[in-house]
Amino acid sequence: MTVRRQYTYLLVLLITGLMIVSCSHVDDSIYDPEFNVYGILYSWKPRHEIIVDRTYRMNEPSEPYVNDATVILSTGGFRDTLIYDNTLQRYSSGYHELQPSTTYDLFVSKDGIDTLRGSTTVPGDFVIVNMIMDTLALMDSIRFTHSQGAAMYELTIREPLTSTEYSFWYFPDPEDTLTTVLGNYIYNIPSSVYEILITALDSNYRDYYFEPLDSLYAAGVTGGVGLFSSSWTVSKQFYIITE
Amino acid sequence: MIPILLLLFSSHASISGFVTDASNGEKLSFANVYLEGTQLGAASNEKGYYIIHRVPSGAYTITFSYISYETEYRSITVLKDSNLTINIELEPSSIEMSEIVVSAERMRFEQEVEVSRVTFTTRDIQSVPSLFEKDLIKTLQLMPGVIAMHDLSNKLYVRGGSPDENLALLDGITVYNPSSHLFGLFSTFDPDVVSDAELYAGGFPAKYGDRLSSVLTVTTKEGNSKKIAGTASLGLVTSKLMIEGPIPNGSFVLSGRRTYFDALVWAYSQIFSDTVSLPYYFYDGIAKVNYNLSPNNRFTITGLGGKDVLSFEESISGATDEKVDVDWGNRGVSLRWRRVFSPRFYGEMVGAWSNFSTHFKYEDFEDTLNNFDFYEKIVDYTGKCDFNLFINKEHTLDFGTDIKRLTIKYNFDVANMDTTIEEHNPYLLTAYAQDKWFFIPKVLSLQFGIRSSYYSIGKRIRIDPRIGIKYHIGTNTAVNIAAGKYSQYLITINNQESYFSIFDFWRPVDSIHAIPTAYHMIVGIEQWIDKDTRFTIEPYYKKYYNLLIPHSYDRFFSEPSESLQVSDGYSMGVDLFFKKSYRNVFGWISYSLGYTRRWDGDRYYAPRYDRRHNLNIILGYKIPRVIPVLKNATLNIRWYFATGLPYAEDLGRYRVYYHDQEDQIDSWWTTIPGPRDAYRMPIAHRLDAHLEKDFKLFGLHGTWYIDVMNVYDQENIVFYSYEYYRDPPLKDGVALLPIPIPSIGVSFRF
Repeated sequence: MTVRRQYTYLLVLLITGLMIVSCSHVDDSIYDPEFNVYGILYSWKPRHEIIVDRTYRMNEPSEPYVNDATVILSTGGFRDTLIYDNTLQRYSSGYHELQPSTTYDLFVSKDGIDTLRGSTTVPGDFVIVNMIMDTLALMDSIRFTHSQGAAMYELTIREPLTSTEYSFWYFPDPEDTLTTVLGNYIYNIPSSVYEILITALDSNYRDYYFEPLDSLYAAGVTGGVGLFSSSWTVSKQFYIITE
Repeated sequence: MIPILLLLFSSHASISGFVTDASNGEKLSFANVYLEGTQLGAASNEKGYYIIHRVPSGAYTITFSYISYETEYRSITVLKDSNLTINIELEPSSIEMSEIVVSAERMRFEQEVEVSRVTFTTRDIQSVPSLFEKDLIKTLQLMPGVIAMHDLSNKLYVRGGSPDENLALLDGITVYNPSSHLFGLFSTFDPDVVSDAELYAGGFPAKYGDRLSSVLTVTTKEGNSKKIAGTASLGLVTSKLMIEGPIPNGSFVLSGRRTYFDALVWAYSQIFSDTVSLPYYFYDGIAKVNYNLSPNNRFTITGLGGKDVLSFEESISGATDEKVDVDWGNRGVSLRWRRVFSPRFYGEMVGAWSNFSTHFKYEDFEDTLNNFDFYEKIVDYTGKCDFNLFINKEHTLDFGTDIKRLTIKYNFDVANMDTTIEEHNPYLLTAYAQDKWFFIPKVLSLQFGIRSSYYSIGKRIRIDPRIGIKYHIGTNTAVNIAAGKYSQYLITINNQESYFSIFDFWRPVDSIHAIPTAYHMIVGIEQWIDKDTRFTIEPYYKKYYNLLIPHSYDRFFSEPSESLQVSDGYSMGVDLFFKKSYRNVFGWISYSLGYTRRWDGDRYYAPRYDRRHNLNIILGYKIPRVIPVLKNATLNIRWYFATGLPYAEDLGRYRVYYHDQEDQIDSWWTTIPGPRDAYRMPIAHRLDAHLEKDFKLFGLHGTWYIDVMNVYDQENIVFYSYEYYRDPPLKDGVALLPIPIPSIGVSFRF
């Protein structure tokens, strides 16, 4: 065997060896579905509802909501196992008046799927401070005190007679005096009596819908995806002059 | 300095000059020049310039040889302490090459200390199978260490580097978006006007810098200094015209090309009263003039221009409702002065201007509040000097300076009211020096270089050392070692992992971020098995620091992002290259094994261009006369085989809930992406073929060609999509060449 031939064989062996040892590892682990919940606690609702769903593998057909899980809503001194309502297709609590600045926990479990835990702190109570005036021009400010723990607000202007609503979001600056100007957001509404509802929302709500997402829609929950959030609403009637 | 000057003006006799092609005046790089009966000789450099040192006085026969050219002999007499200038023109040979003539590649092997370099000529580019249009960058993708993201990609990913880490120069003009045509599918360089192109895939010398991974230098043709000549080409996508010829004391080249699908579609719509239209075209052109003021002073001016235009209107009511105008393109001019100061001192001074601009305008005639106008440009003013000082037989000193002023401007105007203007005006001052030292002639050569830069943003000074060693084990084998530090002062803020990008958005590195840096380490072996067979093997390691990478990665189309992540990384691998010609068969095999990793803050991940194995086999076959209809035709095939690229597989899906306007709960589906590099696309492979034949028609010489891409109908998956209207959603792999795609063309030479 000539030196050149030996050299060629060695080279072929070297290259083949390199190719074999450097084959790429491909992740072949199977994804395990998790709970996917959706629940927002509202201060004006006497009973609280949680949708319990799950995630699916890409090749798996979807199903209706999960109706056989154990769903518990709790806070200090209060613990309620929610009942599945077939009509609403969600879990519903008993009557419970939401408490401001209180942390509520959610527990969802079922055999064969990882337990999901959630936590939300209800934004603090606050008041609309335009108490003396009951008439606003459209460009007038409406002022309200800060709701402790609120990450954002939803302002809704509702005409009681027609139930017509105008809504917009307001993200407070921590340094802000919590003043907003209606005319900046809403225009072309007729003069009338309106009910103004201001809903303080916790950071879970903001994170779920408004923060840039790295990967998953998950806020206020661990061990799954979805949203567990809470809100506190105050309202007042005003006569709005739009001229 | 004094020893250098003493050497420069010392009293040894020398012979120097230029070697050119007698038929058209083009330079001949790495021609062999030697004095018969002696050990004295030299090779011409990349400019065609040669010098033989320390020639004793006497009578000699000097021989000039170059593969495929007639060997030229001259009887000369060398006087003591004299400098003899011999500019020689070699006649192209009509017969097969002489056995004793060594190729330019072989001359480079013997003379240069360099690694990871490949050179291409127009002929090489023309012979590689292609889709619709011959393309330099697609040819470079067939070389070791270079990968393409997909079948249509025209970006260069060199040894684990992203495309923005590559420096592209055309006659000294920095080209910032070399792959800008047809949404990134074709490059700016028209192969008909390219004389040669060099790619340094790593370890590049101190003369080059400002990029982390590679350098591509494209040199256009000098222009035929003997007669008017040209080429007219007609392809499926473009038509081209190139004219070259002499001017007093010089030559010129003019070339232009344009797509004409839009015109054909317009003609069709006029004839058949159809409303179909194709609102896109691109054009580009290169003009070059050489003027020899004297034998030692040559001026060259090169102009480059091109634009892609996309313009369309939407009309529902009969009047125009919406209008979109998009255009982008490269422009540039360089003026070069090449001067032979003395036989040993040679220099080139370059002034260059380069501009890449992007313009996107949207007009909504129903509601002007929706209008926007986006404009971005990068302008580069460069002044540089490169000098070669042939100190003696042992030492050649390269040194120079480079002054670069950049203007990067970004305007975004919404509804003619809100204009955002961002402007950067950094400058970069660079000086370099490099000594090539034949430490033990024909055995051991060393190359030491240093490149020092001052960057105006942050007032930072960088010093980048480079080293190269070449050790000839025997006559035909050499070990090459190269190492160096590389800095990059401009970054792109669009995702370089995207499958498609029209153009890059360049920004200077700001004062709060460290300068992105790479260290290269390459150890290669080059073996000439016989005079037509070359084999190289090059293991390499490249370490990155302070890379600035856009945060968002899962983008199909590349978009600019202001959110950058500081990242480190590395790439390593082995590149193999085997090139051979034997009788009627020629070709090469290139194979790359590569690992590329970037740090995302938590772990090292494989970016989307991390291809483990990449194999290209290119074979050319000159069909013998026994097949009359294809007599002297050439068949080229290319087979490609590569590991699939990493991607984020969707692991699962789930509903995202929200309250609709009636306060009812509704939902949409979204997916759960897996780790960004945990999965790989299927193995990709493809066969392409190219057949060409010369002919003569009405006294004109012509060539017709047929290309077939994807001969055996392989679907190479680029990405997966899901059809969500099915439950479960149907996964569908998307291939860019789903069927064999033929293309034809013809060109005439006059």
